Amino acid sequence: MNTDSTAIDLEDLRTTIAEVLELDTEEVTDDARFVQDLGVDSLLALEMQIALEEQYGVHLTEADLGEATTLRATYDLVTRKVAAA
Amino acid sequence: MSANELVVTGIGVVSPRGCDPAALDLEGAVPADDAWFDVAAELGPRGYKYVPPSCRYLLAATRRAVADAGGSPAAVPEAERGMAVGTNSGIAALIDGMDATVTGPGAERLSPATAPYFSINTLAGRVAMDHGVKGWNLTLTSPRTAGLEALLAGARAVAAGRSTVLLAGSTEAALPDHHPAHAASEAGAVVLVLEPRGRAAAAPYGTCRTAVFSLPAAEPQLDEILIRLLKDAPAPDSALLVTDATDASPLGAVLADALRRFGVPADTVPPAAGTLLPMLHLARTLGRPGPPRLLATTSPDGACALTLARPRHLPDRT
Amino acid sequence: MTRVLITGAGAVSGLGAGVEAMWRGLCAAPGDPPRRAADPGARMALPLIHRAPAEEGPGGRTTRLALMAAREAVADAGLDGAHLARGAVVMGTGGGDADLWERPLDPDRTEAPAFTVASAVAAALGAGGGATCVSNACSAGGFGLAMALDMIRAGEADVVVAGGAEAYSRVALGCFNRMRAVDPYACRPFHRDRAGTVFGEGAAVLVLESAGHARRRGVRRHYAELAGSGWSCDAHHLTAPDPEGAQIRRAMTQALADAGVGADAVGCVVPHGTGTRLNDVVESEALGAVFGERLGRLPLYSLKALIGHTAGAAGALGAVAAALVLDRRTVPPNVPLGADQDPECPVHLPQGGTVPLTGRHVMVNAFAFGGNNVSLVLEGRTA
Repeated sequence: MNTDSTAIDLEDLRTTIAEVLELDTEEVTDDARFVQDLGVDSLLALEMQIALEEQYGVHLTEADLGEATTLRATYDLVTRKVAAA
Repeated sequence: MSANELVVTGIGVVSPRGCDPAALDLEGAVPADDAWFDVAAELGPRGYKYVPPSCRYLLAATRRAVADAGGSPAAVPEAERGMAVGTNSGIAALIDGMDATVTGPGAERLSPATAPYFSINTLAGRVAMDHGVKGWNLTLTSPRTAGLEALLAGARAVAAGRSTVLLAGSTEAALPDHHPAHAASEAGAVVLVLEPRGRAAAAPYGTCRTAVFSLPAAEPQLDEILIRLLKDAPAPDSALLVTDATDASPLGAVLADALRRFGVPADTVPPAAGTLLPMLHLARTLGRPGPPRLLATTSPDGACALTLARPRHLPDRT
Repeated sequence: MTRVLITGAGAVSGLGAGVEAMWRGLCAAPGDPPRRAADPGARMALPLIHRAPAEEGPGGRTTRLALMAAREAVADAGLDGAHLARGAVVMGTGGGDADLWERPLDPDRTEAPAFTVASAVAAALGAGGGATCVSNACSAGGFGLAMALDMIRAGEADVVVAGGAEAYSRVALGCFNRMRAVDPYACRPFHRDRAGTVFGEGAAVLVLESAGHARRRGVRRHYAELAGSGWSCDAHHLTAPDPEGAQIRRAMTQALADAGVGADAVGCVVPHGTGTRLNDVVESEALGAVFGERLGRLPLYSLKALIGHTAGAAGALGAVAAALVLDRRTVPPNVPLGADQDPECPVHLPQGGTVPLTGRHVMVNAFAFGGNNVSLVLEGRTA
């Protein structure tokens, strides 16, 4: 598998997360903190986990989820998971 | 007429039968789907993605009722606000869909953010979050009667000093497509704002008081129950019974006979699947000036609820 | 104000059928683990439940449990048909007869309306004074009793048969699994490793009666008085408690005020204590705010550790436990926690043997999804 097909598009990820959180994509800035800035609670975090697993075909543990505190952190996490898959 | 007597100061309705309480079209059937409800127009563009239909209706009806009351619930401290909601089929379709998921692909495929709504009290719980209802919150669920019952339970809680202001209503959503009673589904919500006459700023719509009983056990006491309900109030000039045809159930006939003894002629309309129809009739009765009227509903299991609605007289709300 | 007596009691839970079986179970504290539900449709990681011995028969399982407890309570109180004809019924249940209205695995089964628990009890008892089904989730049974108290005080009824009932619900358990709210081992309130709750089945019903009515019909003995209740709503989050605990504190202090006693009168608390991480800490802190420095000495009886979280029945089973504690002047031993008790929950959980009750009042807490909180205060007989 070449790197092109495993690369994650940051804007796609932003759109996915914005949809899960019912936000405009502009509000999901690279560094907005999900919990403190965007009002994510534990149930929305689980909702986000499902969306990411479905879209990127990866498996995320709850520890992984704890790492995904911002869009940028989530991008790094998913990129790593996809590469390892 | 005491200053503590609760008066209705706001009415909120969202229903395929209309949203203007005074102009509700309560004849005939309405389609059992969600297409009539514009969530963005009622509630705004976002924040309700994971909220099931019956909760959206209740949120919208509450907003309308609170606005109609001039925002008076917001004028009392949060601990002084109470809410009683009746619903029977409010989450029936949601539970059905969740169970299809659990028994099919498994519980891991449930939506986590929608999962809390398996518990029917979260419908009113969500409204409490939006309106700072911290006094207390009750969800009543008996078939057909729970909407009118919410008025009684709510008034009792206010009388016991558990809050100053009361939001009381009913919400329902369509039954699952494959349910035998799907065609009789109800969708929509009614919410009333009630507060003590002494503190009501807006000219009130009127008052209501409710009694509940179970037949046949209560039949020997029916006259006593009616005397107590009608005490110290102008006599109602008519009654509307939301009840099964008398050949299917004797309850309506027993009730109609008792009312006839009190000189109150009773009309009968067939029930719908939930607890909403009697509340829609109540909203319409209170929504326009008129004589006192009795509204009743019966459930095949014997439960009955009877509400005396006393709308304002014309000169009262000028 | 009208005094309201508990003149009859009925209970069924994982400890068995009947109030005496319950008391024996409380004193023995067997601490049996939950079982996996025998339900082929329960596709979830942790289908754990404490089953109660429901009688076979027509109708839904919750209704059958409710009827067992209601019939026991009415017989215990010695109520006859004439008393019951004027009596009311209030039953709390979170999910009603979930086995009937969840999507049936058996396609030939007819669909029944939901939430007929109270009306079925009223019909079976011949109670004519109304049948209210209250579905405030895990505080429904507590609210059922509190509403009955207000009904009697308001003069709407002299006798109310009230309580709560809950049976296994596949959807409820599936949702708790999905929300990561089920402990894989057991219901372990106040345990440092607690990881959620475990549901149990059960029903509890009390006969509540005005003191005047009880006297007129010659009642010679009552368990205790239901002396007060306090209600509140967090209005904070659908599932999580408000971490400040302001509203559960208010429910407790209002219940004490309604009963006309101070916190120092309370000799035992049956807490809500579900084993959910945040809930137990918030409740411990609120108890500390209400009872002050007595928190470390005030006996708590942590019922759910023994029978699981019986949801809509939990507040009513807690009230039966409280009535028995007052009736027998004895606090049963808690399921041993020992050194595993969470230091963030510095409550007193007597273990290893019964302790005598000091004080004349017992508090029962029932909190729920939607932040629906109720506290009850029961008062013992004068000696």
